[in-house]
Amino acid sequence: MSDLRLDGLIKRYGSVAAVDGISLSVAEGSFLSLVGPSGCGKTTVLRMVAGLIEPDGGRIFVGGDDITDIAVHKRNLGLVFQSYALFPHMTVAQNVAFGLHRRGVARGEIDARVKKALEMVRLDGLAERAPRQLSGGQQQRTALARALVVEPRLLLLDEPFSNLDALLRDEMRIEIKRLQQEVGITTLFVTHDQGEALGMADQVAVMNRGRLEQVASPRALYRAPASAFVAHFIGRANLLSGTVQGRDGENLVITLSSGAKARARGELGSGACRVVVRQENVRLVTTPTATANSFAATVVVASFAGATAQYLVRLADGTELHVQVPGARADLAPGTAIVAEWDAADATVVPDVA
Amino acid sequence: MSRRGSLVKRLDRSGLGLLSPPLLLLLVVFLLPLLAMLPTSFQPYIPGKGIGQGFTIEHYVKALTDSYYLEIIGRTLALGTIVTLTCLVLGYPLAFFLARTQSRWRPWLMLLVVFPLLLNLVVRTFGWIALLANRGLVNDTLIALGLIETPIKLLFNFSGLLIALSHIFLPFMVLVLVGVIRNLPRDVEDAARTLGAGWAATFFRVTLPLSLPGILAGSILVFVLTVSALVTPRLLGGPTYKVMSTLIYDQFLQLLNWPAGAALSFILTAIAVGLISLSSGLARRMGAGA
Repeated sequence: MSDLRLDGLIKRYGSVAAVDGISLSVAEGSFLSLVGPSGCGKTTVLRMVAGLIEPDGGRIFVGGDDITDIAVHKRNLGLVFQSYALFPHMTVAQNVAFGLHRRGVARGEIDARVKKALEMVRLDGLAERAPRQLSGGQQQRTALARALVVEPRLLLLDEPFSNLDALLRDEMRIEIKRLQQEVGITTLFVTHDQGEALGMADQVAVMNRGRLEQVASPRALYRAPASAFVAHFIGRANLLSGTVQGRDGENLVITLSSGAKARARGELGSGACRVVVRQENVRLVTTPTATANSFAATVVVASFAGATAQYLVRLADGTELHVQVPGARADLAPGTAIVAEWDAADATVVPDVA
Repeated sequence: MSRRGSLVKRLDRSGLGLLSPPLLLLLVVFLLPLLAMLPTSFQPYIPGKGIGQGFTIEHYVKALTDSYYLEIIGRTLALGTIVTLTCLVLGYPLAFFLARTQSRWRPWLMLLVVFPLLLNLVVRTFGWIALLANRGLVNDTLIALGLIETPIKLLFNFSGLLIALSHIFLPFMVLVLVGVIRNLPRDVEDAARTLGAGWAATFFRVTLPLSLPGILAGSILVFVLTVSALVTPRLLGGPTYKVMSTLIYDQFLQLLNWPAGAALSFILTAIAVGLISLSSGLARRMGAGA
């Protein structure tokens, strides 16, 4: 068990920097999600940590040791692949035993540890099966047992859920989280799914175009995104463009592109900005509240989804807002004139970088 | 009408309907003539007169007991085995390189592998005669270098056939192996490496076992091609150094002993078919693991 620290990691393919100076640390025993759209370089980062890709710059430290120049097979890390990558010509037990054999562990101890690892992932009855006789979830458990049985210093998870159906995915998510907590292993989890990233991690690192956009706890990331990209990628927030005018007590005063004034939280001094408003923080009311940012609006689309309902409303200047309200209170028909409003405390200002 | 209908439906479901035109063609042009030879192989041969009447198994008995025939059968199988192993040992590293290289020259290198196949077999064989003869390029060079004093006999014996046949059939082995190695999942090898397997352990524990089906397919192909090759053994073996195919050829066309030729043909076919079914059984067993 050790902490992981990346220091200015760089990987170029030709003239393109797939990973462009990533510095990051994962505390011992904690779980960090590395999330971003496909092609953002997150898998490249993970493969560099594993040693499968050689970085063009930067260092990788595990438990304080610089492992950048250490060969893959000597790094002692556990990696779970998107494809599971089980050995098709070996049984489940042989798959799990592989790493122990390579480490020269005594035969009797191997059997005991394999048995224990399979119990841990609840595959005790399937030890003699071939991988192709297993379901997707069982294959994944095997891959997990195989990675963990060698007691690696780090656990690396590369999109482990993307080949599972939705139901199994939820189950495995909880399963992996439970195992990670039990074992207490430092984990780097790569995913393109923001829901998975938030749901599993202690810390979330959002990557875009080879760079880190923000590293924060799931709550902080959601409440106070540092950039328009993060705000949109995590939770698909409404982004209103405007200009920072000045400060009024706790809040910033912004002139929106429509000309209307709005108030929001933020640190920005001046200049072009985006106001981030979460869908669930927009209220649809008939009479505006004095202290809120209130705008006249028309319902364009109403979509009922059980626990929640989605609305698309259009403001007077044509700006469209996505609104999420509790399903029980959703009774607005398209065409209804309404007031859309949100509190300044629920809005965040981020710089507008086009 | 309804019975016809159900038959058509059955054919549809088995896919046999789709297969039947080529199957029929194979049956008519390949299997029937072969089977037509079967009665011939059990007919007596009267020297000077040809095929006689009656039933006899003497041709089979002779082929499988006479030391002259046994030596030729043994030589053919040994040649097949050693050529196959040679092609495998030379071909696997080459195929591995071709399957894995990122070089932009890859298509050209593949072409280079296939290139010998574009030359007529007879031309290639004569090329080997020019190279391997007592006063050929190989011997001349070795003598000029002072490595040997008298020429090594490379023609009309086992080594000549081994060299030429390995050269001729190597592309087949390489092509089969390249296909299989290219399709090996790289993740699985990466998984082995992250689990602590170095280069050698990854290769011998993962890559090689997973490419066994290709090794088997390539080996069957090269073996069957080698034991049935006629032109090259004919030209490089000369009239005296015989293998089964040249022996069969002589029986048919020199001695006009069709029954004996037919019997030898069936023995050769039986060996080939037996070997193929044995190894496809083996492949299925490995496939069950894979």
